[in-house]
Amino acid sequence: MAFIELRDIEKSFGKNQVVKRLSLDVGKGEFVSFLGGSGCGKTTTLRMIAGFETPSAGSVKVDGRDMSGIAPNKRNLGMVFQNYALFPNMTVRRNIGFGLRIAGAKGAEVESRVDEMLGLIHMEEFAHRYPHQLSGGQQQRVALARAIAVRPSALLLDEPLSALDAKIRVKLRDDIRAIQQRLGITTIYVTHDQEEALSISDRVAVMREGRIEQIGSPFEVYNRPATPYVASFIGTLNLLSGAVADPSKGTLLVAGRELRSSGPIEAPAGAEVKLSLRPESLSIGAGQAGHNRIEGRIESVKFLGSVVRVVVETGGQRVFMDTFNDPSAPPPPVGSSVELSFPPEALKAGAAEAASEPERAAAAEEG
Amino acid sequence: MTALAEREAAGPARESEPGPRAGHPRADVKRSLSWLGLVPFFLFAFAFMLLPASSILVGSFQDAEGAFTLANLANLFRPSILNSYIVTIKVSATTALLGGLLGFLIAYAITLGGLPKPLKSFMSTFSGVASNFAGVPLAFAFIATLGRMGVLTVFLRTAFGIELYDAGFNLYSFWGLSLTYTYFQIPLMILIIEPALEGMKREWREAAENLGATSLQYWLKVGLPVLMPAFLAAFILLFGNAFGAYATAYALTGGLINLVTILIGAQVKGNVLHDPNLGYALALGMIIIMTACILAYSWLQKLSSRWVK
Ligand SMILES: Nc1ncnc2c1ncn2[C@@H]1O[C@H](COP(=O)(O)OP(=O)(O)OP(=O)(O)O)[C@@H](O)[C@H]1O
Ligand SMILES: [Mg+2]
Repeated sequence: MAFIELRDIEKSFGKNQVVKRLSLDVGKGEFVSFLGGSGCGKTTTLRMIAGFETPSAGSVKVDGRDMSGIAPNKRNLGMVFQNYALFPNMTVRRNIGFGLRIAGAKGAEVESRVDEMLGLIHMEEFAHRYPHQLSGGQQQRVALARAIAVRPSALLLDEPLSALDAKIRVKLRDDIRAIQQRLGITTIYVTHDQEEALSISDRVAVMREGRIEQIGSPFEVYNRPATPYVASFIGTLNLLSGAVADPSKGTLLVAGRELRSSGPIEAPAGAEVKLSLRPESLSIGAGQAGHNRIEGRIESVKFLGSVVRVVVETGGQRVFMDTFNDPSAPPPPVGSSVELSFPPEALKAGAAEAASEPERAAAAEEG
Repeated sequence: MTALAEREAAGPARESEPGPRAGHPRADVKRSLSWLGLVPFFLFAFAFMLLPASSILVGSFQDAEGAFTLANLANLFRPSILNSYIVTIKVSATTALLGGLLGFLIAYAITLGGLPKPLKSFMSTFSGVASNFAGVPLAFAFIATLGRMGVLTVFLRTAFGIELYDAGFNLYSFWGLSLTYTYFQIPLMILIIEPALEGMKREWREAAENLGATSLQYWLKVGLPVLMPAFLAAFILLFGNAFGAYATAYALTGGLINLVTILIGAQVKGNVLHDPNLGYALALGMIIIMTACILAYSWLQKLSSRWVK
């Protein structure tokens, strides 16, 4: 049985319905992320679980217990907020011990639990500092320790890292995951950063306009996106247009070349369709027998660290290709002609609906 | 930029300039003129703080002929004068506490309570005006409302048969005066405390709740401690505001309640009691009390705001 159970929950603010018949089961000890763009209802859903918002309809159950009518301070769910909600008038030690004291724990008991928590977040030497004397990353560690100290039945985190800079964000997210796994605590994590969601979650729930569009393991949502929206939201996606050649065989014409897609196409021959293609499925050269091949001119080469992103112009369309950095084989120079190849399974037809999204992603890449 | 940094920055360019020490005079001029910006402050402090305070100090120790005396200060300990200090402190403290409490509750409703937006901005504007509405007009407004023949007094009598004045109320008494002062103390409190309340993060409250705290526990352990420095500052301001008030009390009670300010007025311009030097001594007493208040305040402030940046 699921540990956290959301059944058809809805939430409206006035006429504005922001969560729409959302259902979700989170297993005990599982780490689930809510991933989605701004305003899609992630925070609202999390706040309904925490009890700060009341669902307009539907039910929230935690550990088999119906939460409706139970005040937030009686739910025993740990919450970490986006903008460090540490109590400014208390030291780190006091902040972490707050919930324990409220629960009526005695001095020695509080102190030993606080020490344990300080060890967990590696901040023993900061115990006597006030929040304003800490960096953002340190404050979020303390907020995490404060939430965990009371042994909550589940942990709810609302974009806990979004106010931090990139390096600390990566370090801290790994720490959060490590602590979560060590304690085996059921966790819901809200983020709009897909890399973050993919890297630390057992499952990712991709949200859009108050609904869960797809939920699955990071591997599933990335490699088998259920909808064009999910495909475009997660990872970088090439969007091409082509004309259907043979719908039953799944072949198309792109820039004068016949390409094979992953399967039959639901459009008549000659129709213009959108095609999607992950940058990492492309490689330079002719590739294996049966692979699709396109030719183009290298427009730019971007070095992203372990990955090199090559932008190739082919028949008036622009294609991103990601390859691993290879010190012995520098990418071909800008302006030269290349042949690219990719397996037919990587080419998916019929992504027309999501046209605007990846274009935006592509524009962001450019900038 | 400091003069030194200025000189260093100008250093390499100096070679090309005609005068061998061209960089120096400019920097020196800059440094020597930098104090000019402080002139208005010192002029102000001198003209409006130091000068009056020292003339009060000097006058307190002089008799009518200008000779040195301690008699004025000794007179401060006459029972009637001691009593007027006590009454003044009582009125100030009472109205600061009362106005402070009510003002806080209203400010709370404005900021954290769910007061509708239009009402919010109206309250802010109204507070700005009302906190400055004092003196003769305020006294008259209260007489017209709550005096023996005031609108409200008469209304209560005719509509409900309630005789305010028989029930023990008297506008021209200590409590009447306090009530009148409260009229400008409340909006002043609203103006002072509103920014502090605005600064209270919703997340603090929610984090406390999430950790099992009740509303009361949140206020005792987080809300009030966080607001304490602002409360202290507000109390001192309200206290001082009432402590120095003169016209309202004079117009309302015509000297029935002997506030220190009214006594001073009588010494300085009165024809019966005319003794300006006693007036100086009375004012000196007020300055000493206010200074003590401010010292106590800054000590408490330090205690209550250890955690502030
Ligand atoms: N208290 C409220 N009153 C009215 N509308 C609200 C309230 N809270 C949220 N909304 C609206 O509900 C929608 C969803 O908000 P929510 O905060 O859940 O989004 P989100 O997915 O967390 O977005 P973000 O990534 O920007 O935090 C938004 O359109 C927001 O304006
Ligand atoms: Mg949010």
